[in-house]
Amino acid sequence: MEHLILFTSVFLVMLMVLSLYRTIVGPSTLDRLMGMNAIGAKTTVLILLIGFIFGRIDMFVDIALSYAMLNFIAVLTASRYFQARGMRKRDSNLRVEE
Amino acid sequence: MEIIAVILILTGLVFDLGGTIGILRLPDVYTRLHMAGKLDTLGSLCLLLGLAVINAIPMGTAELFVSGKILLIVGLVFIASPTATHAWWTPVFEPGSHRGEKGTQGDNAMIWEIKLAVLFVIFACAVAAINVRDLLGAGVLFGVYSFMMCLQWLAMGAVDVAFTEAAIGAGISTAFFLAAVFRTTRRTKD
Repeated sequence: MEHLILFTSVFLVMLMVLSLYRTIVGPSTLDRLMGMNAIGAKTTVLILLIGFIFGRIDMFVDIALSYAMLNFIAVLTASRYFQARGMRKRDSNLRVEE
Repeated sequence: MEIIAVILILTGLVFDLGGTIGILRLPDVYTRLHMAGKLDTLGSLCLLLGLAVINAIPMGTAELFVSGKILLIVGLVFIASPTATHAWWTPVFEPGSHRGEKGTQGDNAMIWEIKLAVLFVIFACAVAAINVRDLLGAGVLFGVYSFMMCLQWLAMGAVDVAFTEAAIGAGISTAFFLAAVFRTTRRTKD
């Protein structure tokens, strides 16, 4: 079982590296956010896996919980930026039409 | 019980692998969002459920309590991840913003592979955050850097430092950076 957990952890980190390519290269910011969200989701699982390796899962589960929530908040803040920018652009378009 | 857990974990890994390949290989933003919203969520769900099952095997009260918390994370991911993808999806269709494209306890020896791999990711994130021209992109990359630092603290066993890093570095700092970029300008002067 320990081997499975170690294998899963290393595999997840490998997937994170692949997602990081999309985060760095882009091309649009939405791609970057998507990569960030993918990495964040895998990190939550990885925290629990590390907790199993240390044998202190009762302590690590709280961190994973807060981590999942913080990841969600960061992503929502970013999407609010997009929404506000889209509305601003629409306003300027309307002004041009006037 | 163990067999169920192993099957769940392996299924999760397969889904995560598919999602990552999709994010890397698909041609435009819409299809990539589809991958990120569906496969990553399902992969994380399977992995978390598998871990909850492993943890619940001794059937003690404390173990079941911790497994309940893991199930809480499952619920959070299940709600949060599709919501986030949807929240991005809506502004993509806004007029004007459409841009189509083409070990065992105390045995730290067995964890060094994870430490090394995470260190590599930290290094790549740091270099990328400095070099990226787009300030919003740099903020996002800095957030990823904080996530990775948090993981590295965890792998070293410094749980309290990792907790602070997750709350201050990854959560609040990223939100502040994004807010600052939103209030000022997105391009660098140099």
